[in-house]
Amino acid sequence: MTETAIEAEALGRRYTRLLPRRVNWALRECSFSLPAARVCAVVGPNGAGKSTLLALAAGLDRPTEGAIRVLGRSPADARERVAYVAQHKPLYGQLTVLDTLRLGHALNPARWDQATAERIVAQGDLDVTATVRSLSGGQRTRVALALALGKRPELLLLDEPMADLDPLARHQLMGELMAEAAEHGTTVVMSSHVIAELEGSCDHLLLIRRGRVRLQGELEDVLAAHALVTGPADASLEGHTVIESRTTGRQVTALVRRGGPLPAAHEAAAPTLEELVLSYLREPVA
Amino acid sequence: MVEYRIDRRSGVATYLQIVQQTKHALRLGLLEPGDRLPTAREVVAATAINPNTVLKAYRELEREGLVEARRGLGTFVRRSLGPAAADSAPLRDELAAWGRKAKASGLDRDDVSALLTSVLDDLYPIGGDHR
Amino acid sequence: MSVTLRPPAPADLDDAPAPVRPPGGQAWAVLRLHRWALWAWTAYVALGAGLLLWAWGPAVNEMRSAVAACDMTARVAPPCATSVYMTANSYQDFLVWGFYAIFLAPILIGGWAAASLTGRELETGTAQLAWTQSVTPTRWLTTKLALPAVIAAAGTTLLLALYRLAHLEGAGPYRAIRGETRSWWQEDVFTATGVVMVPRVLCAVAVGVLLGLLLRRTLASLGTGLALMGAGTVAFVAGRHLLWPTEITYGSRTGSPMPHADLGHGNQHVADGEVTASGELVEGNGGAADWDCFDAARRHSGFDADGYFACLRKEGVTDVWTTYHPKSHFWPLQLVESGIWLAVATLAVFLSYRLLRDRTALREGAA
Repeated sequence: MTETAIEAEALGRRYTRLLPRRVNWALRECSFSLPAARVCAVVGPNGAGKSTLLALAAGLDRPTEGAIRVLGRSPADARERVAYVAQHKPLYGQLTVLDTLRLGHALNPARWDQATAERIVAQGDLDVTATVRSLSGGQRTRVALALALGKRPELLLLDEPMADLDPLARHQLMGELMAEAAEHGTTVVMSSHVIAELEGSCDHLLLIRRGRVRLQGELEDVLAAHALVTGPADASLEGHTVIESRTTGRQVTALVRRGGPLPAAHEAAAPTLEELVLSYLREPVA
Repeated sequence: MVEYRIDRRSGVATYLQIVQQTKHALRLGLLEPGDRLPTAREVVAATAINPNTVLKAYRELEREGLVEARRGLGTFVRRSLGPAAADSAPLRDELAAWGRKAKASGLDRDDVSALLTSVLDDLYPIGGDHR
Repeated sequence: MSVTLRPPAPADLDDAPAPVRPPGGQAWAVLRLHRWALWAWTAYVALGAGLLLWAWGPAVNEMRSAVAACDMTARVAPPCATSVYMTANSYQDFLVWGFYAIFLAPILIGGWAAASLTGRELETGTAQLAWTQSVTPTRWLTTKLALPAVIAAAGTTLLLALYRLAHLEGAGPYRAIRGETRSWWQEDVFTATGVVMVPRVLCAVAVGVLLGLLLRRTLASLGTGLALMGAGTVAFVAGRHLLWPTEITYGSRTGSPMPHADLGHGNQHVADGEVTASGELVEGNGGAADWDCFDAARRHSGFDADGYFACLRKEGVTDVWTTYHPKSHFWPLQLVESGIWLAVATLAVFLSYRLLRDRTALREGAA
């Protein structure tokens, strides 16, 4: 198995609208390396470029500049070993659930794992002879995930996978996803808005804002490198990178990237993933 | 077999929760030497936490000599933790006597709990663990 | 860490058709996805075939027995002639309906291919679903093009064969009743007894697929597919005669004041006009260059051709002409038209692959 699941080098993707002419960089100068066998969260606000990044990794788009390598190869050559679930879970509405799985088998003859796909569908308590069109949003997501996991991917790319699920289904599907990852060492890369949901499930973080990577690394390291400090407003935080700070009266609360030991005047606490991400997203852009 | 309950809002690192709950089960005798711990797959399927977290917790338990991994079979308990609190009757009796004294002196449940926690913190400092 | 799993055995899956054998790959996938279209096409071909078979069998037989029962050579048409004419009309009606089935097929296929094969897949995102399976987007496109093309061509060929059968079978009795059959250059005979329809349906599939890829919308693709194939068809109906150089004939050579009227049923009239003193060919005037000369040349005994042309020369017109396609132009016209449809189809296929290649990731070393 390859050590690196995704590697991007100065990756950029530009979209050009003809009329009226508008050029928009969805991704720009993105460089990062995602180790294999991780569960990686891709977070960022709407339009940050998360979907573009996942589509590029899935081989559904071509970079305007730079390069992206998936499992050590070009995305087109890694196609067989990668599964991708798009944000709105496209499936053929006219097929039954059972035929959707047969389609997965037909299109992935070398890798298909019918037992896994059937198990994931079966846990959802849905009628396999019903057409996909008649399913609820959550059931659709389940079928889409079954199709993706039935492929036995080494890398699973999920774009907002849990967005239209109720909390119970969310927990259940995330559990099944983690179980598959545990059993097969699958690398999972998922974008999400629900940051609290990712905490605990993810061990790697990729924070994108305005098409650029703002923060990346092992979640544990990233969290340890930051501190949520409270202290007198006049005390200096020199030597530390202040990501966000709020002053209330004589007291200042700040999220900082540690540059060394923190001043004694400050009370420091480790931030949660959510606090960290929100601070980075609120950080004014230069 | 133990079942882990993960509290994401507790502020305690997830892997530590697994370590602590395993130890708790060992102390209470819910887990005995030779018992198999749930597989990482079973744990994450039920809790939706990261599989590496479970593996990390199991490695920690292994490092402490409490469990051992048997290739292809799973992770098994090597020894139990003792003396289990439930079994140490004399200590419990002493604590109960102290509790009655505290109650008689007018302390309510929260006061006693706070007192106990402060003593425990002094005796068993939690070293350097980030949450 | 390896785990033995107990696969749950839910009731639903137990009811399902027993063990899933590997289905037949891409082709199965395309056929399954477009099952209804396949049914519809089968029904369409069956309907067209039914009409043509009826024309070939019962309708021809009726003509034959009607002709046998009625003496059509009499100077005055006998009362039974009406029913004889009706049998010929009925035969011709069935044949024409069969022709419409053939004629409209590429237009319908163009709309369907654009909407259903690619447009809808791109609109709903299922194309991306397909492109992230193990098969490459290129193979996906190949199957999407090849399978419908083969099925459409097969159905059309069947209809063409039946039309030819009915056309040949009925020609004898029809001529006995009407005096002549429909001519080679008339739209129904030209398209339904020739080869142009096969390239036309192939082009419909290719252009449809390209439109769907370009427009990425179901309805827009449907409309554009129908419109483009319809426009292409109309263009050939109207302008086909330009595809091959015409033959020309002059009134002075045949002694006819209106050579186009004397062309005969076997030639397709294209244009006519007069020759000026300077030798220039001018189009128009209905072939009879000057009605005064024409009237003057009419005699009880017949037409005075020499007088007519002498009169014309006084008016500055040296001759009258007409251009036409003789029957021998049937195959050249068929082949040129087929070639154009095939060229467009090839271009559409090429552009489709290009478009797909530009939209998805490149394979290593493919750059």
